[in-house]
Amino acid sequence: MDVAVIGATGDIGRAVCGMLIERRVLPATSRLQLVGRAGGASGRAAHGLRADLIDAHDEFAPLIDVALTPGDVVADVIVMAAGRTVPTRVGERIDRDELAMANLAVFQEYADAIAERGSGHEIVVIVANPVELGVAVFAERLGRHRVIGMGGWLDTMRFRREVARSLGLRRQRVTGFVAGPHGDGMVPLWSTVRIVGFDPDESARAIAGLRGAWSAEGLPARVAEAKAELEAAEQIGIDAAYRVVAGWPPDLRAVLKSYLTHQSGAKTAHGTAAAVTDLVDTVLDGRDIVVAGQVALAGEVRLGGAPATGVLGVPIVVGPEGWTRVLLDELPPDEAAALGRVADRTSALVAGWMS
Amino acid sequence: MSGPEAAGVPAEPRWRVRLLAEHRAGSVAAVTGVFANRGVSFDRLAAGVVDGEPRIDIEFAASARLARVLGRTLERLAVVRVVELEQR
Repeated sequence: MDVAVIGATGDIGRAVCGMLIERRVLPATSRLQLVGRAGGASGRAAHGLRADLIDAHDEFAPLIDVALTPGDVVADVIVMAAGRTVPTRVGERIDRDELAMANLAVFQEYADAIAERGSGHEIVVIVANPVELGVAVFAERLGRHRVIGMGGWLDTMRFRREVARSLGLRRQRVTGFVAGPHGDGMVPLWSTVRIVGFDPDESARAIAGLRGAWSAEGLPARVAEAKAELEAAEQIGIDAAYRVVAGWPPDLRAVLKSYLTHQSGAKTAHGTAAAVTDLVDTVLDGRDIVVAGQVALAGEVRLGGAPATGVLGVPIVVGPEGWTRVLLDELPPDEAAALGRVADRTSALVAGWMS
Repeated sequence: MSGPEAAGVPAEPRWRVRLLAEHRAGSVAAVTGVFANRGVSFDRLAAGVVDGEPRIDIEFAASARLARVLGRTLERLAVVRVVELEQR
């Protein structure tokens, strides 16, 4: 099976390409397609990246191909990482409306080309932001089950990591999901958290101790307050800001630590690439596996008593044909209310961006 | 008689793909890898230098969609210069 990375020469694209090869997700007989733009810096750099990847991994690298127009994208799994990124300068604040305006045309151009010239079976993993807009644009053209936004899986991995850290465990010992939009509006679903090796009572006790008395509905206000605290700490220094974050509970750390990493200038290319590689591996694996991701819903989930439609991050079953179903049991009232509120807000945002 | 035809499933259309390829080690392996990765076997495979040009001819059975995917994927191989796909 072949994988194309659109935006291969960007920070995230490069990390994804390297990780797909290093983790041996792509065997030597498959093909990795590096997609850049003809006439632009990314087109030149794609040829250079190809040479560099072969230099680094010739013993086991797949065939590596460079494509410079949307019509030349040919692969079984397509990673959409092209477009403007945030933030572009250290200390710059994230404006998702501005991002949406910049990236809508990019999403449309590639989605149109794949719909017109593709095999009709490609799975597209949306990395570029706003993830929800990318999913909406591609799902409209390719069919919703073939399009997965990776933000939900990245947020889930961050949440699991922060819960694990508070318990002194490694991430693989913690399960559980984050739902909602990618970014500040995410809804960590404490009700889905389980700890491998703990029995249900031990798990419940540990989780209650970490979560405290806060409800999911109160998270947006806590995030806003914490962000203000973080910005004040940043004035002292980035190390001081990370110390402030370290003292927060896991759900706040999951939401805001990556924001601080962006603000530091380091960006989050490796964490993002790891989540993308996981998703690509899952699709290529041939088995159905439960992950989380942003998908275009058509009533698979009921929120506030009504079927949810529009793009939202939820736990999903992913296999070789894309996502097949949503795996979300009935949520406690606070999580259901919080998810319903962000679902409405996200739908309105995406509709506004696409209009 | 066995296989899909015995089960009443119509036979898949047959195709011929003619390639102008690089004359070097690994060219045929790269081409056959494209078919192997998608579970398509050959009815006929011929490789050789014809009129001074290295050519690979392959005949196979596949759906029209899969044949198109194979053709587009072969076009992306660095060792392949020209791809001509036709239904037989």
